Amino acid sequence: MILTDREIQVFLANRQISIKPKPDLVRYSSTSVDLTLAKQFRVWDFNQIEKTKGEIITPGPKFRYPEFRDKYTKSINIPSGKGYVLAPEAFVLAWTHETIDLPNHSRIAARIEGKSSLARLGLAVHVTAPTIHAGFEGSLQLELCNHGPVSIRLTPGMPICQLIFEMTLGTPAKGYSGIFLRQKK
Amino acid sequence: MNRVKARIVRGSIRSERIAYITTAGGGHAEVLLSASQTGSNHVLAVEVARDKNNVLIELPQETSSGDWRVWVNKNQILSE
Repeated sequence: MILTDREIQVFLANRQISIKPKPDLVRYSSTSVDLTLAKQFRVWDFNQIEKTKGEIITPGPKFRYPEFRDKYTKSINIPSGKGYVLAPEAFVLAWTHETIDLPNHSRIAARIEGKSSLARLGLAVHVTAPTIHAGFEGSLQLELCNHGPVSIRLTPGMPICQLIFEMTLGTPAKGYSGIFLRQKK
Repeated sequence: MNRVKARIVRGSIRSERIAYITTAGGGHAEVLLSASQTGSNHVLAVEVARDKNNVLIELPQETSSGDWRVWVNKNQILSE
């Protein structure tokens, strides 16, 4: 079952879930709440990519994502007024400004989804990984890709995605404990 | 369901309308709607909350700037 705006607010008030900072009333729709873009981005280091041209990554047990990330990307902060211009076909990692907490016992999982106003421009906010498991805590990383033909300026603080909360049928035996637990910007 | 005052413009296809709603802050919310969700001078929206002078409405579609809900002055509400 998907939580409506009223249920999301009740769950927040009862501290069964947490979104910090607390979203303003205008950020809700009937069955979702919008999250906003943080100023921290992770962009590709094209000098490094050029140096290692031809290298092939092999996802699997020996693959270490943090090493990959640190080798091929760099962290930058976007100036609030200026924003970040995402060119056509460009792909960057970004964060939601808000951090969320879905305690295991609350029986809540969530999905991060795009917003139609941005989707019409060609902007995708995740690459087939929308699930936020029960037990997750932290900031949400966005996989931003501009599939459109025109550059898009992304400004910190803009509503960037929506969060849809779903109640699980039972209490999971074990909440999320993967490598992205308590991930920080 | 409320009728909220708006400037309505024809869209790119016969069934499409573009509505411009004056927000409480003095700006304009632009939203693409089907003709059935609008009249000649209004859009249909649901009241979500109210304070002394303003009403928070939920629109039938997301605005161009990404909001489903906008604050409007209570004078913008034509009927409930």
